[in-house]
Parts: sequence; C-alpha cells; structure tokens
Amino acid sequence: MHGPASASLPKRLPRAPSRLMGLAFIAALGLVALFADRIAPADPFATAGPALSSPSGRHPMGTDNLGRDLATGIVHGTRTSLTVVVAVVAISAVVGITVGAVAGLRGGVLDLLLMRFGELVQVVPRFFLALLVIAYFGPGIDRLILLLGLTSWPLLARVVRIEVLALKQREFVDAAVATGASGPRVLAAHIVPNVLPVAVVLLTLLASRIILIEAGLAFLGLGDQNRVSWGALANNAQNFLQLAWWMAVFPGLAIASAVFGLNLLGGSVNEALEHGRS
Amino acid sequence: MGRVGAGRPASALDRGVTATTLLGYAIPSFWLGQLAILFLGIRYDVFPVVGMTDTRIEYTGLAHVRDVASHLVLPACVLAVSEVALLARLTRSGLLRQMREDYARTAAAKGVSKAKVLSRHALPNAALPLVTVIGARVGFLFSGAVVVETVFSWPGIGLLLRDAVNNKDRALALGLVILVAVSVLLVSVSSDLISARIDPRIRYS
Repeated sequence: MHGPASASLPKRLPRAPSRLMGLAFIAALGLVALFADRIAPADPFATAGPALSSPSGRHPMGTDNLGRDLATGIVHGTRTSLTVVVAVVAISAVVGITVGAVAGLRGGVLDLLLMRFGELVQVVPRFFLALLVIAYFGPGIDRLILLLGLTSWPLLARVVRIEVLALKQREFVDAAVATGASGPRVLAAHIVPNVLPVAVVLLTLLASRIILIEAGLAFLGLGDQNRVSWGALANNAQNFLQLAWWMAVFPGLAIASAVFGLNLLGGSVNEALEHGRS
Repeated sequence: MGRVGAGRPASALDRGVTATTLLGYAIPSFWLGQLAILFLGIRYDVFPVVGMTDTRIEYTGLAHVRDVASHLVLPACVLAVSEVALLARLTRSGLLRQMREDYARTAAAKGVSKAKVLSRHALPNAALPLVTVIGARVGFLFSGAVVVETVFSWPGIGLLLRDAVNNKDRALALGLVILVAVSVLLVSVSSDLISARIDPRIRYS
C-alpha cells in the first residue's frame, strides 16, 4: 500500500460518514476560531447584561456572575484552544517526523540515543510537567505550547521510525538513492508522503488530548488569565452550580464536541488504514 | 462493552457502543463531574458532592467507612468513565484482530459457537495487551484525579498539588510531581512484569 509518493491520502481511503462528520466538526471549529471577531464582535471580558441571566434571545447561552455574555466567551475560547492545539501539533509533527526519520535512516548509536531520549521525555506525565512549569514560571500560553510541543513527539517519532525502517527496504527508495538523490531530498520526496497517513492519525488524536490538557489546566485556574478559554469558563461555573447551570453546561459541551470531532476523524482514518493493510 | 461491539461488527449495536465510547472518551472529566453534581447532587440529592466526609456528624467505625464510601461514589465514577471507554474500544479492536487469527477459525470450524469463540478463545488473548495499557494509564488517572478532586473538593494529593501550584509553593509542587512520576514508573514496571507472567510469549532475558 506504500506506493511511490504520488498517491495522496483522500484518494487512498474509501469514504466513510464518520470521517466526513469528524471533518465537518473540525472545519466548523476552525471557522469559528478564524472569524471569532466577526461572529462575536463584543469583548468577551466586557459586561453585556444583567449577571447570571439564563439563556435567552439576547444571550443565547446566558451570562456569568459578572454579566459577561457566555456565547461570546465560548466563541473566543475556541480561538485560544485551537491556537494551543495547532502550535503544539505543528511542533510535535516537525520534531517527531524528523527524529523518527533520522533515527530510522541513520540507525546505529544515533538511533539508540534518540529513541532512549524519547522515552526519557515520556516518563513524567505531561499534565504534571505543565503544572510544574506553571508553578515555577507562572501561567501563560507560550510556555504551555512549548512544553506540550516538546514533550508530545516521541510516540510519533517511534511510529515514523518503524515506517521508515520498512520503507528503506523498498525499491523506489533504492532507486532514488541510486539516481543520486541527497538524504534530505529522499526524506522530503519519498519518506514524508508515505508516513503522512499514519502521522495524521496520531496528530489528530494528539490534538484531542491537547484540548483536554489545556482545558484541564484552565479549569484549575492555571490558564492564561488574559485570554478566555473553555476551561476557565467551566472553572468560573464551579461556584455557581446551584444558580446557573448554563455556565457549566455550554463550555463543557464545546470541549466535548471538539474532542469528539477529532477522535471521530482520527479513529475513522485509522480504521481505513488498518483495513487497507489487512 | 467491547465484547458486545465485536460480536457483530458494523451492526447497529456495534455502532451504538462505538459512539458511546467515543463520547465517553471525549467528555472532559470536570464537565462530567459538574453535570453529576447538577443532576445527582443538587436536583435529586442522591449522593453527597463535596468533600470526603459529612461535616455535620463525626462518624466512627463502620459508619465512617460508609460515609466516606458514599462521598467517593461520584468522583470515582466520573474518573472511571474515560477509562471504561478506552478499554472498551481497545477490547473491541483486539477481539476483531483475534477473530481473524487461525485458532479462532479452527475453533469455529470444529463447531464452537461464535459467542463461545469470542468469550472463551479470543477474549483472554485480546485482554493481554490491556494489562500494559492499564499500567500506562496510571499517569492519566493521576492527572484526572487533580481535576476531579478539584470538582468534588476531595482532599487528596491532587487538590494539594493544585493548591501548591496556585500558591507558588514550588518545593511542595516539585515533591508531589516526583512522587507521581515514581509511582507511574513503579506501576508501569509491575504491569510489564505481570503481563510477562500471564503471557508465556513474553520473555525477559
């Protein structure tokens, strides 16, 4: 199933309703994040009406204890969540694919060192590393992205390495080397396109994990205080559970649907890949 | 649940199980906790929702155990949901893989019913990798515990860690994280040893 680099992902996979649904979820989220200022032009931190008013035409998701519009907060929270997710996924994709490909192509001591280093990174759960970083340097979206990005690549690297080891034996890689292609050229033109489907699966699942971690930290009150985020909205709801159910329900719903969409997409692509392999 | 789903792949039942487990895996634990408090705690008052013991009465002996247990119901269930979902998904895919193996076909060929092949032959083999997975999930359980303990004000190390980070008590935070890291390592080593004990194919030289 690993043809030369021309076969692209969508062509290879049969259509499946769950994948389309997952894609639709993610596309909707992306659009909301991109056009947050158009959809909800108001400042999410500004008072928009009476405090703790239940969902109505003016405030479709109600207002919080300071009279801030919850729908505005959730729309802008999408942007915060997706910023973290996109940045973390980008960092781990670059690091993971590079480390995996180099380890697989070079082999030997370098391979051993890189893989052991990857295991070392995975020892302490990411959530606790993030807590430590916040304890030492204070909360902030920049360090969260760096920390999660630099600790999330080992799984991807390991999978890419195994794919590369299998690909190395294939004729088209031999042919490329024989015609004088350089190492980076082989990597970019022949290896990367072939590991892409597997990488897509791992990265979508990583993205859903990152959303949950970011939301969990913000729920503990340890997120970036200058940005609205779903987790922080849910944290705020904690003190008003008896008074305002909407403050707890809508942020959680946003998180759950984002994670659900990503898992749906990742899971169905994975199933299609396994199907193609057996 | 995984066993039910694998019985008839792609049936309505299987789709239902898959969708439920996907949902269970997607729902953040603090949200589930808040919903549980909203419905089971406040609306219907089935279970106590705050703390570890009843603050009004000082129980001793067996009554104390029952008191703590009733406070534990909601946090424990909330924390367990995503684990149940994950294990169900893995069991299902593991079973489907095992059913393609030769021994499963042999058993079916000699007249064993499909239900029996699934439960007696495939399930034990599909369950072996789960030991490792459960071991590897301990880290996630700890991070889930920090969040769930906050929702239910459960006085555990999760809540202690959150307070330590909030108060910039770095020494305490560092100590707790090291404690967690060591426990995660110990559990992961023992889960590897357990799976070597129950799976004769794994040997450590």
